[in-house]
Amino acid sequence: MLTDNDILIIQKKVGGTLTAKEEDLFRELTASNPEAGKLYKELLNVQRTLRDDVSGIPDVDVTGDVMATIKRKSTVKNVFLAGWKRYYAYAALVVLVFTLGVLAANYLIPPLGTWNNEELAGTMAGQHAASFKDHEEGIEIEMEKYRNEGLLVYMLFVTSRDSLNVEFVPGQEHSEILYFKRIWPGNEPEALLEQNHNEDLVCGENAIFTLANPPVDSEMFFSKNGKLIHKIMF
Amino acid sequence: MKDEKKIIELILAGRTAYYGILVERYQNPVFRVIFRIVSQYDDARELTQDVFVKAYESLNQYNPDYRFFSWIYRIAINRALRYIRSRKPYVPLEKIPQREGIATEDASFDFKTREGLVNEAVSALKEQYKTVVLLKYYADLSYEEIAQVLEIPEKTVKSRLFDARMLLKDKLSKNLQYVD
Repeated sequence: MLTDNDILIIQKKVGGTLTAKEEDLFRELTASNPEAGKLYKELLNVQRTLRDDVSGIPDVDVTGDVMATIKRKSTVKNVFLAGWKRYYAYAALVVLVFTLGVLAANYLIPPLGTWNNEELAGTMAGQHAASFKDHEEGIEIEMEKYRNEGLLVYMLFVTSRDSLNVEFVPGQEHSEILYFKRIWPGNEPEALLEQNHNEDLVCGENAIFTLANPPVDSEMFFSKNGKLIHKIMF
Repeated sequence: MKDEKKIIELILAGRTAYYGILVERYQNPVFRVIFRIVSQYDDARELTQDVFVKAYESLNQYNPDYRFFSWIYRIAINRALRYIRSRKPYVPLEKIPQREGIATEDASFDFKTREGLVNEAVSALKEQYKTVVLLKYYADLSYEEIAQVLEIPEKTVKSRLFDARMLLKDKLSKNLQYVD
């Protein structure tokens, strides 16, 4: 029967970290206990198998692609942020919300026949939902919400001196479509969130996020270098 | 570490080309770790690219008191684990080991079968064991370096690695006898 200390000696032998004294102990152990020898061979086999697996993985060269992507993103950023003004963001917002409204009307809402003015009026108007400022951290967040029957969309305008991590944590179980996306700068792939799945995006300087249909008890965390700066609850 | 600190200072000062040095230095260890998690070459390649681009975009968040590799590996592991959580379960046909009618003359088939078994065994480990195995064998880090990446004591790294080996021993010795 092997003791914990015996197993420790064998593990250290496999890992190549035995002291000279421990080497002697190992030799005595394997000479006197067949079980120790067997365990040593089995663990050595694990090590060999893993190392063989590693050596079978082909090399990859992504340097060129990474640098090209960085250069492309940097060029776009310089062009669009050279004269960044908040009203450009609102212009993008109007276009986006109009597009979402058309999509929602066409695909999510049953045909209503004739739309009268009362039904149309006010569906595209945004409501101020929340705002947050921290001058010391250099962060400003404004959130507006838009409702068009069947679709609730939040727009978050984030201005930050430093890069932020933005993490969205869905709340209760949801059966509806749920999207979280950064639409400025660049265009992050749309994250269709499943149950218990968090999405983590990076935001630097200025960014706009959209969030559609967040379930109750969802939370969004804004953090910098692992430090939580602000939290929004839905 | 000093040269990396200097390289990062230059990158943050606008000398973007220096980032290529870091990519070249770490792309293969990062790729191997990601590959063993996602098991698909093209996906792993794309994720590796993604990790380095994201790391560049977040470089001003990087704390120079810590080594660059500990930061990049943390991003890589989190990214890969998040990817497989969002991916629908899929097992390519060639990765399913077959126990009967194996053409033993075909060495490449045996390798794929062995690779599939290793992948299955490592994937089945709990995350705390999987990450130390990946960082020790696939990223080839020392115990001290793994402790830095995972922000846990070195003693805990060794203990987890020892436990992982014991778990893998049971899984691999049971299944590899069919291959050999």
